[in-house]
Amino acid sequence: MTARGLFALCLLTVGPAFAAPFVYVTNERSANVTVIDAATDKPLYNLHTGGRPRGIQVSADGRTVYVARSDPQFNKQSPLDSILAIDVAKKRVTAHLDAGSDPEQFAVSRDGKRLFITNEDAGTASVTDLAQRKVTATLVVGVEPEGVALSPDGRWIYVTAETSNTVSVIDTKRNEVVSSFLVDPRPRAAAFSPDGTRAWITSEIGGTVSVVDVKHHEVIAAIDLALRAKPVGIVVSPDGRWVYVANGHGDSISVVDAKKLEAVNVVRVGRRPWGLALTPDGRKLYTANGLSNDVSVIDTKALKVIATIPVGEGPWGVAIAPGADSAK
Amino acid sequence: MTTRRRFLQLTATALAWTGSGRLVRAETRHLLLAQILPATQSTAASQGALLAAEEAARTAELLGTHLELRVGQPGEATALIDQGALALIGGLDASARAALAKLAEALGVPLLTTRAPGDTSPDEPLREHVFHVASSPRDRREALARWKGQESVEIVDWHPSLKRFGAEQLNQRYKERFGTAMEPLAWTSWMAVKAAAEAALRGADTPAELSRRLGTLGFDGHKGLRLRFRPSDHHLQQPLYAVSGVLAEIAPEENDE
Repeated sequence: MTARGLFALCLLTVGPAFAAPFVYVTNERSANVTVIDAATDKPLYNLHTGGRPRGIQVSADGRTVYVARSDPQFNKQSPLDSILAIDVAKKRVTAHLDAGSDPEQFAVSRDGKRLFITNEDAGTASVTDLAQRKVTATLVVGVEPEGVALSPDGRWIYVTAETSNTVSVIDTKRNEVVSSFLVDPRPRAAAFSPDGTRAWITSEIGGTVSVVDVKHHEVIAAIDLALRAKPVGIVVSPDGRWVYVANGHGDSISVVDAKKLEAVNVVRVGRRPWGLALTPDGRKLYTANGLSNDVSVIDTKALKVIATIPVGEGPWGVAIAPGADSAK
Repeated sequence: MTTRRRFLQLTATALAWTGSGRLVRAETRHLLLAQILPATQSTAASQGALLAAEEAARTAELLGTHLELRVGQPGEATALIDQGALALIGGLDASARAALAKLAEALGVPLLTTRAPGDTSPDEPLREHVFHVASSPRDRREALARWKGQESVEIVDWHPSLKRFGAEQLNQRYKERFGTAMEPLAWTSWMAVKAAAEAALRGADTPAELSRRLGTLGFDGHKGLRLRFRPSDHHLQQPLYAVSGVLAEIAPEENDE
């Protein structure tokens, strides 16, 4: 084998392991998704979605990015209401999935076979079977449902509802709501700790993060965030040590110590951060800043904004797909 | 609608098997609220209250309890309290407010007041069990002073064209339910029932406890701020809106946000 051939072989073997992830940002007012290279933190290209794209999630295998798209005209049911499947390798939309009306946020089941979607205007959660590409169950949850989170073991889906201040618990084995509990006013989003023992729920009007004992589906504490915090998006670090909260109209990110159950830091970002995503190693946090049309990148060790990336209009959600596939 | 029917079927009967081998209805909390309306009914007041009651009833079902709003005329207030009403909603004009407030104080049952359009009667003194959801003339004067604006501006508690902070969703739900726009009295009636229902759902199962919680809880009225009843006079601290062709929000002066 020649030296050149050996070199090429090494690249092939090593390439995927070192490939940086890609960051996908939904822009609700410019009807597209901006794709960012996490290695350089530069925008690469935009994918047209049409409608009003908001919720965004990556499949467990990292090959598909799903985007919830609804009609920009409020409460008007239309063919625009669907979940789009973006093939990460092909860099294009490859499927439109039935999602019920006005889909906003959702979760992908661990086995990659189902989506659990909130329908804000209908007050329901839809379960979409990905093989059949259609809604196979519609579950009644609280009024104005919004946030959706899946437990790490794949068993529970938490659905928050803004008007009823509830979290409904869906058992993914039975496709049924098995429990509901109250949290502080206007719950927006939920996230689980990596070990699955705790869930964290933001309450925008309450200005708090509710801490939930997942075993009993019970609130055990409420953490007051900084003055003017309007907590919306939330993520937990891969080691479970930190919880990052987007403060919406507070224009900042709060860092919550998951052991002490208190906010320990605030990082100023762009205007009205909403969706959040962490790189798989937990080193960088991306925030979708809805009113400044950009994404802030935070170094989670230094707790400093290290880049501000212009995206489309009204950035809403962020998801990070591992970059391994792109190196093929 | 299929989903609603299915939901009701699922929650209509909760049965439990007892040790003695008999099927009995499981003990379920039943939370009762009462709206007191004069014989000449106000459509906006009853519709706003009804929407909040329906939404709260749905939340109650999720939590395994029942919540009901009964509507009575002024002469029926005492009977409704005897039936177990945890709170009264009403007092559209000064004389009705005064009569209900007297009853509320005497029996220790919270009263949440709203105001009919054009009611310019002055504030009443602070009472332990009386909470005012609608703005008073003084609240509106203070808002106007903060607005520093034209005399022709009208200060309102709510407007059907509001969009931010989930207002669009609430306006839309109301319009879909009743086919009319959500006027200020509809919003204050909705807010009054929502606040009372929320205090009840969060564990207040006596009128005294509900009064206490109304004084301490923060509420979401789709106005973007946590709304509280000011301890000094039990008026809801809330953003008001200036209307003069265009709509502008005026935030309350003292707010912990």
